[in-house]
Amino acid sequence: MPPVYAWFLALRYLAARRVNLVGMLGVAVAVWALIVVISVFSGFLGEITDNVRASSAELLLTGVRERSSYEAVREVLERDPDVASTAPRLRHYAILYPYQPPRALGGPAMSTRALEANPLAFNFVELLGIDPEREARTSAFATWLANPGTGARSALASLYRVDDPAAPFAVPRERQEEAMRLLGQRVPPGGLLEASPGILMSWRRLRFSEQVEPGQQVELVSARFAEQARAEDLKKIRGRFAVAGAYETRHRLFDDSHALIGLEALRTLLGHDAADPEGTDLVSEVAIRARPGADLDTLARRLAAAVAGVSGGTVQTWRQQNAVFLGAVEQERGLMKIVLFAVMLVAAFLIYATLHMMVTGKFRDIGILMALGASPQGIQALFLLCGLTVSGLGCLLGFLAGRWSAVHLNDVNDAVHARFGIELFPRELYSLERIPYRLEAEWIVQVLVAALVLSLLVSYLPARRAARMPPVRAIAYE
Amino acid sequence: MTQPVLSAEKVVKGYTLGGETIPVLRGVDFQVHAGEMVALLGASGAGKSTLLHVLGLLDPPDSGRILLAGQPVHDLPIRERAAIRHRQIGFVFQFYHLIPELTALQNVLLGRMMLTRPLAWLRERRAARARAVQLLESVGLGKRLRHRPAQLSGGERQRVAIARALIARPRVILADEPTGNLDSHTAAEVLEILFRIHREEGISFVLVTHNAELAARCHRIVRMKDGLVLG
Repeated sequence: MPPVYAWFLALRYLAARRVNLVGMLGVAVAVWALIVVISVFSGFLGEITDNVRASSAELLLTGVRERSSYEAVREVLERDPDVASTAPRLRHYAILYPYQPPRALGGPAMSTRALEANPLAFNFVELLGIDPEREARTSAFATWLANPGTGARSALASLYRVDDPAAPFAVPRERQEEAMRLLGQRVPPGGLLEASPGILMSWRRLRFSEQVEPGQQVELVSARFAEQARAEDLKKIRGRFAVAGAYETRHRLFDDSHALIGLEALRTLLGHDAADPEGTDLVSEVAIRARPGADLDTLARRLAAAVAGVSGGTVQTWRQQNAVFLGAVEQERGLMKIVLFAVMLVAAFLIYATLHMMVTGKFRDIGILMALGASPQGIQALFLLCGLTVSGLGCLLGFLAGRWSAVHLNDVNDAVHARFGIELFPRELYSLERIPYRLEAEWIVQVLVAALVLSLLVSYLPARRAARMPPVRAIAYE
Repeated sequence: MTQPVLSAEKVVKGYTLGGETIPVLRGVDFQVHAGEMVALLGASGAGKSTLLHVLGLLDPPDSGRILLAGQPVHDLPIRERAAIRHRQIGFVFQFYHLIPELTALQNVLLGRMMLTRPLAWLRERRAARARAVQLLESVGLGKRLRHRPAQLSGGERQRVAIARALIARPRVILADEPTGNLDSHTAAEVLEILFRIHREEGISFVLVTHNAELAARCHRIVRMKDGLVLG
């Protein structure tokens, strides 16, 4: 413990020299930035992880052999005591555009500009064919349907709300006809011959649009290879669907790319007749829900081994399915930590510079203190205390400011937006209603300890110089 | 004669300047006894201040010995020399050397803080403060406790420095031209204080001075020339 004069003088020296505030403010800014930015990143990461988890099946069997049958796979999978349920999925790719009746049927031609502005127009989508009943038991499908329009979201969402979650792809014929009328298309006399099957679009695609009518018909264009395919056997696929409503997983990458349709509708589109007893109940992947408490990694390995002889393919946990995305955000957070520590280094340099100046300016005082009986260690402690006090106060200020900013970040963001029209944190980017933050005690302690250790290190050099000053030279003259 | 409180034996001290060693003390023998007041007279450059610094353990001798109450102290570790300086030796300088950020009272208290840990200080603080106030009153600064050095006259500053030298109850006070920077009237006042303290407290004094009149009032005069004690 340094002698009392070191504490006594350190405080008075600091109070008397305003320049020391620079180092303190430097540390405060660094600590503040490290706390706020990393808290927001952690909040983002937490929220994004939740969203990613909600958009993914706990386990997913993918890469199955062509023409794998769901029934056969299901039987093997559900035999495992840790599997709660499974749901078949079929994946295909298509281009989507609004259906325009041929001129002969009297539809008004949509201008190119209107087409380009239409969120349905010429959009590449991943079609995910699902069995709603099984999907609801296996993934968060029910939540996907409930999400649009929750909270403070646009009233527009209610237009696209799915009326019956048990039959999400059913769009009544009358509704489709009503949409045609609203779009200025002529409904054939006697009405449509049959209702088109429904398609669920993501709320991200629909929400800025007033050009897509619920029940509106859209066309899909895609292609598939015939069996024993050669290049010339590429077959064009066309299908007409009606917009059944909106879903939202809140995982942006999923929502931006996927449109959901009924499993049977997609099988039919791909040329498999569901009514044909010889036809396979084709799947390309199987979503799996584990029983609570099951270890997903172990289960994934076990299930992959179990289906090896049936369908082949790999089983991935929800983390593995999104490893690249989650890894990227985590990586960003890591990089941010490094970048912000550079601010800390600048603050440490400021402390070094001000302390160095102080030691030079206190040359005579050091001689006086030694004459009064101060030891070199005591003198060293005095200047180390100066450095530590500066950074300690900076830490305290930075911590308080950082905590306050993180807690009130949304208010600050709103105020800045209202006053200057600048969005500090683009919530839209991650589909978030509020800027999330997570104040992690462990990280805060790390930041504070790092700031104190760093300031101790940079204070050491000036302090050692002070301790080595020859006292006689200092006191010999005025 | 009693054993000297502080003595130097064959002390040699030189300073290196531009690669050349300049001898300042060339084998000095010197003693001061308990309660004795010794005047150290000599021209500038005779080595008086250097002898004072070596005696006060601020500067180690190149050769020779420094003895405190008969015990060699010059070769002790630096920490112990600092502790001895704090407990046994008081300094009064020509240029006062007060800490500008501190008040008169704080400057005096500083003289008691060198070895005390913060917790112990909490217990000792009251007594130390009372003694500091009493010392400042005894040098006539009872009404100037909260003034900073910049707000005090030269004579007042030197009186604060004297109080500071006394607060740790030293055995010897080494005063380096304590009135060298004061006008004659103020110098006379400061000297009266020093002689009074000497009378009342029985502390030994080594007074470096150019002033023959002042030297004549001391018990003994030691003259120095070219780094040697004469006669």
